[in-house]
Amino acid sequence: MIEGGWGYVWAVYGVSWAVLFFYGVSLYLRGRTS
Amino acid sequence: MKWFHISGAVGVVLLVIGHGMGLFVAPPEAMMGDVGRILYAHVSTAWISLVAFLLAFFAAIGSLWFGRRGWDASVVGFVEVGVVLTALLLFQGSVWARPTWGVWWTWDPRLTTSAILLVAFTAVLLLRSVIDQPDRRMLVTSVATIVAFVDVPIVYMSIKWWNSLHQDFSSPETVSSYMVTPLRISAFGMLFLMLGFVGMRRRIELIRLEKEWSLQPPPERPAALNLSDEGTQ
Repeated sequence: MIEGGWGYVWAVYGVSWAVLFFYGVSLYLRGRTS
Repeated sequence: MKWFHISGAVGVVLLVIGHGMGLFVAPPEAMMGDVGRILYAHVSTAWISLVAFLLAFFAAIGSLWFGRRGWDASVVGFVEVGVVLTALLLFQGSVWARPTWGVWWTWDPRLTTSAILLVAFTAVLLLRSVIDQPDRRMLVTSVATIVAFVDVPIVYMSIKWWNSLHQDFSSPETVSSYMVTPLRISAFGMLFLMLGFVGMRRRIELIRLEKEWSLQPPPERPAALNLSDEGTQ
């Protein structure tokens, strides 16, 4: 079994949530100004 | 509040639950250990990106068939959100591959066809952005989406058709019951979030198309009508 590796796990979840959050905010702002 | 705001909110709640269970409740995977927890994010993103492109394909057929702005806006919504999810799944897969395969990237059939998928659907959006004439843009977007969709079944079947490092299809029969629940909740969360994003993007595109249509000059009066007007004076 691979030992450790939480750094990779947090990198994936951190970047994924950040991308989804900022994409959602961008859609919201574009929707308000259109 | 629109339906897509509700769908997006439901998606976020389900994703928090699914990812939370995957991170803190599910046991470490037998071979991958804690790195296996990446799959709760990666697999759900991968499934739903393919669903987004499948729906883009149906919307493109609807756009060709009916020629309405609503279908055209739907194609843009599904393609753009699908591109975001595909970029995300390639990043997630790359980070997962480093500790498990020992490399960030390899030209494995599943990885290569997924990268082609990202390039193909990004090209659809780029192609659309350089065409000014609305009817021609709708036609080109639809045809390009249908052409790009050809890669979707190839991505899905790539692990069967070629020798691949990538895991085989996952199902409740092949995955521990401790892992199926967070995976399933994460997948439904991503599905609702994807539909919410598509609804928001579709609305933006529809407003833009309607503004564009209203700014077009009115069609010239038919010659017969002009003659008739002259005759009555």
